[in-house]
Amino acid sequence: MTLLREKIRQTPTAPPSPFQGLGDSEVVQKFLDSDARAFTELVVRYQSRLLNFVYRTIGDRERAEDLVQEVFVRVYRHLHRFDQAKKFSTWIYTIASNLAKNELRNRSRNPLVLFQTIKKQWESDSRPLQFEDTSARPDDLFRKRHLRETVEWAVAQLPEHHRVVFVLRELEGRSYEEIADITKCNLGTVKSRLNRARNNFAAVIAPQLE
Amino acid sequence: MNCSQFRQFYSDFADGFLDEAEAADFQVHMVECAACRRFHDALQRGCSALQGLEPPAPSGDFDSRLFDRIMRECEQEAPPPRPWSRFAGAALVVAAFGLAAWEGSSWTTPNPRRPARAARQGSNATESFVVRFAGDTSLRYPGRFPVVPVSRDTFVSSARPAQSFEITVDWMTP
Repeated sequence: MTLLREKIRQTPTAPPSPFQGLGDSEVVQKFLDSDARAFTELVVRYQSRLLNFVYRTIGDRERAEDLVQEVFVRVYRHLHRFDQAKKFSTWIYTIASNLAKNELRNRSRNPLVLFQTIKKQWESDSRPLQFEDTSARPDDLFRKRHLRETVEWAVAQLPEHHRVVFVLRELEGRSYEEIADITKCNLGTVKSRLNRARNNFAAVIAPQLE
Repeated sequence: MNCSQFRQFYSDFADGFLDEAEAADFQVHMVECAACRRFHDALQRGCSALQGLEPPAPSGDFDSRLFDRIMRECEQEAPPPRPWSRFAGAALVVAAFGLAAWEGSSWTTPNPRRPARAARQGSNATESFVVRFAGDTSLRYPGRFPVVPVSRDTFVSSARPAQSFEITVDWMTP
């Protein structure tokens, strides 16, 4: 463990990863064999994907980053307990999904208006035009921004357990079986939640797109 | 097919779980029903836009914050010593750090035949361990010294600050 810590301390300035081309399970095995650089490789592989997933699920970027950090801390702490017969990506998404669900649950118990949410809307409304892509026409820019905000808003309108399934399927492209593993639901539940989520999403977004 | 059936089984259609005839029913219904066609188009456009959203990039200090946090947690969560092994643990720590300090100051080339000073100074040993310098394979240093077994553990010394090394104590058959 100490050596791992020492190596991790050196990681930000470490040379390029020697794990390119290896599958997740091989990288996990390297880490379990005390090669701490393997952990860095897992972070590199998953940090953006997890951040995107958690952000789309909870809608708060900074908090999403905190939760992704927590995911990696838990991976580091519990990787020796991970059943290597299973897919690492499913395991790490399960951790992320549970943390995101807890976050939403806590938020519903202690509702508050996030300053970040207000700030985000304010920023998007008042962003100076000189920062925009000048090669695109203003009405295209407006339409794109409107569509992006509409989609984000429509996802945020979904109930929590529908949203997780919807994001895993539509954004992450996960199979029903993987979603069932990640969310600890049976396939039938995944199917029905996804169908309801799609119906809700379409109902919310359709009027905005017309 | 009516609109209710279309919505109820839409995911089977969208995810390609239907056979050709069943999928054709959905296609026919969409031609006939403007509302379900709009539903399908909205979903397709919305999902496509969702997939096209730029993913948020991790902040610049993400890695350093993560590694600091992991190190803090590791330090806080060092496992407590087992009651039966307090004496043995102390002996092992003394032996290991003694060896580390000695090696840190004098180590130039690993020499498997050189006896470990910690072993000679030793404790009330009853069993053997392998002590090796871990990290890069070339720096591994096998040697034995007798101490009471405690558990698998590691120690690090900063005696060689440019190249930290580790002593790994493994169980050995007595």
